[in-house]
Amino acid sequence: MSFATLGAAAFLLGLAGLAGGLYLLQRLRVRHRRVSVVTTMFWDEAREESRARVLVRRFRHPWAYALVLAVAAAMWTALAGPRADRDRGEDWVLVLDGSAAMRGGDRFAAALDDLRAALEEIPDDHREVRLDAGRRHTLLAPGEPARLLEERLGDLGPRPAPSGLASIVDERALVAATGRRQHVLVFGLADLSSDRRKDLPDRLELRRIAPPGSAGSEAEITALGAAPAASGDVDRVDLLVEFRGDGDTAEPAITLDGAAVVTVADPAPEGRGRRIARDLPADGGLVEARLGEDVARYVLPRARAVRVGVDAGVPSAFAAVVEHDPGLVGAAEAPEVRIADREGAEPALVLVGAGQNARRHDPGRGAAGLAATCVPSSRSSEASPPRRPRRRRLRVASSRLPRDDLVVGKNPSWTRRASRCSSPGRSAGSPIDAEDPPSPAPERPWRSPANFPSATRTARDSIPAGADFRPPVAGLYVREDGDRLAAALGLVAPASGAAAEGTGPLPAPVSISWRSSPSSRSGCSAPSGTSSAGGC
Amino acid sequence: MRFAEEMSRLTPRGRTDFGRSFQRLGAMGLREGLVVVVSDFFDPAGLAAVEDALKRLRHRLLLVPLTRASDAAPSLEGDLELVDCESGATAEVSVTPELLTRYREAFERFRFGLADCARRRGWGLLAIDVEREIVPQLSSIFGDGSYRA
Repeated sequence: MSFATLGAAAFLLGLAGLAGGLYLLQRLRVRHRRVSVVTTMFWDEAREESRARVLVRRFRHPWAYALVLAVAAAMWTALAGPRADRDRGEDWVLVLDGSAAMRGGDRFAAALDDLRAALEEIPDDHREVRLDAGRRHTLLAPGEPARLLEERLGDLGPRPAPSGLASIVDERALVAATGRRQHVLVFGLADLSSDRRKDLPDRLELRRIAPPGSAGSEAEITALGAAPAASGDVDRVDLLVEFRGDGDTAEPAITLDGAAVVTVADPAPEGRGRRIARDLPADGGLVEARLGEDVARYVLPRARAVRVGVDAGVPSAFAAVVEHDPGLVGAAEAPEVRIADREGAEPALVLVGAGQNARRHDPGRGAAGLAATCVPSSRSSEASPPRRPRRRRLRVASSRLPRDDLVVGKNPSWTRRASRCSSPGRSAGSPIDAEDPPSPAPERPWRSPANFPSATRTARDSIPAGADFRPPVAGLYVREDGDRLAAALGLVAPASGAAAEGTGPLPAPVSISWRSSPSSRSGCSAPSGTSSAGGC
Repeated sequence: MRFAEEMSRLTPRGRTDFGRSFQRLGAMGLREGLVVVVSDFFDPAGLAAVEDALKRLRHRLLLVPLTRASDAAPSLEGDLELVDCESGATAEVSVTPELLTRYREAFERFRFGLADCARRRGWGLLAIDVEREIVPQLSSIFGDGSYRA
């Protein structure tokens, strides 16, 4: 048993204090007024139990003391808020499906009713409630009372976003691996494919409580989106279409700018269908998916390799980055980004803005950036022995980027474009900590993107635009509204699902500054204007 | 008159102990006559001890219990330490209405017990309220010039 408001020690101390205080009161002598009477014989006969108490004489009325102590102890216990320790080694995660599939009819309200009913049955201690609406919201943390649900829900509801149930299940599977039994209850239509279900660990139970009447509802598009192409072509994307209905008989018609698109089926949960179109050109085309009377449209992002110029004096590691990153194209003439030699200072990254060398960007893309990794702090370091990796800080600033959060994407299959470097002693599956980037020594070659594990294996993270942050790894950063920012070695390529508003030079400088803290050996220095510091 | 003067010179002394007092009286071997016992009869040994001591006398007895209204209905309240004016014994009490009720019941039991004892033994009984004039109380009894126990 535990207590909500008091610790066990405080509770016991308070109880002991009560017992002691009552004991003293019990022995407290009452001041009597002396009165002379002709005889006490009648008083002795009539006298009942007197309220008089004697100090340091005999302890009187032990049963009365026990009763008072019991009453006081009960009140004290109630004040402490006892809670039964109901930890049976299991957690309950209640997922309220707020994905696009829940937007039809009153499905969401029905699922919410089911959730409320379930909350009455499941103890609070190890119960967590989440809303899966593109971006997950924790509605109730473990131990929080269910009455907070309505307040937390507020205006939240289903959104036109795919379900994130898979990532929730992945997360709980990690907890299940520690020995705690996990129960994931899904209130809605989100589900895993049969293959994924087969792979669930034994200690993880996944149950879905579908809203009443949803089984027989009409087929509909539930998700439509794009991601960098798995083929690695930077100027192409893969398109994902998910829909409800029998995947064998219901086939969505998918077009790109009016032309039919060839798709392949992908494993999907029962009653669902999933189609993927590979290597569509990322040039802002309009995708339309139609299933019966349900129509969904999506504007593909514009993506292309960034032309990067590397000054002659810059360490060769920069050139290696550009050469091996599929998102970069070395361009001696008219680069969009130039890695400049700044005569003794650290190599600087110069984004070419609206000058004469500027290429035409698609305004409205919103974000562009550059990450500098694995670079020496000076030209002389190229010949130096491998040094301790340096910290780095990046600042993303863009007048085009709304001041909302970016979200680190987690779907490995959609982030293969990200390329990373790896130190020889690191296993292929372990993520690279941004605090500890490997040395850029020549004997440590860059790997090709295909050899790297998922670049976005780290936990989700929110990155406010304009704020300092350290990308955990190179990878794909996905904004809540679908915009993506692909961070590769030395590159963050602009990408967007937003419709192009026109063309023209990038109107405002999009800058990312980085720096390395000075090293006593290399003498690296921190350029001014950077926002944070680290150690060489 | 001489007897009255002797009586007026007496002062309260010692504690009530009927057994010892009347044992001494009986041992005097006095000619049988009338013995008037003036007392509150509050013997700590109880009314039974009083009766046991008196019944051994060969004299006619007239019991004169001295009473006052405050003995029958004391006006006390609060937490008190009662001190017996004879023995000095104390009793700590918290005076409540219930306690006063029980006190009055105990006092009435004693008074009726004494009267019943006198009736059964053929003793005279003359209760005197010491807070009132004595002569009027006596005249109500001896008004015709005689008294028969």
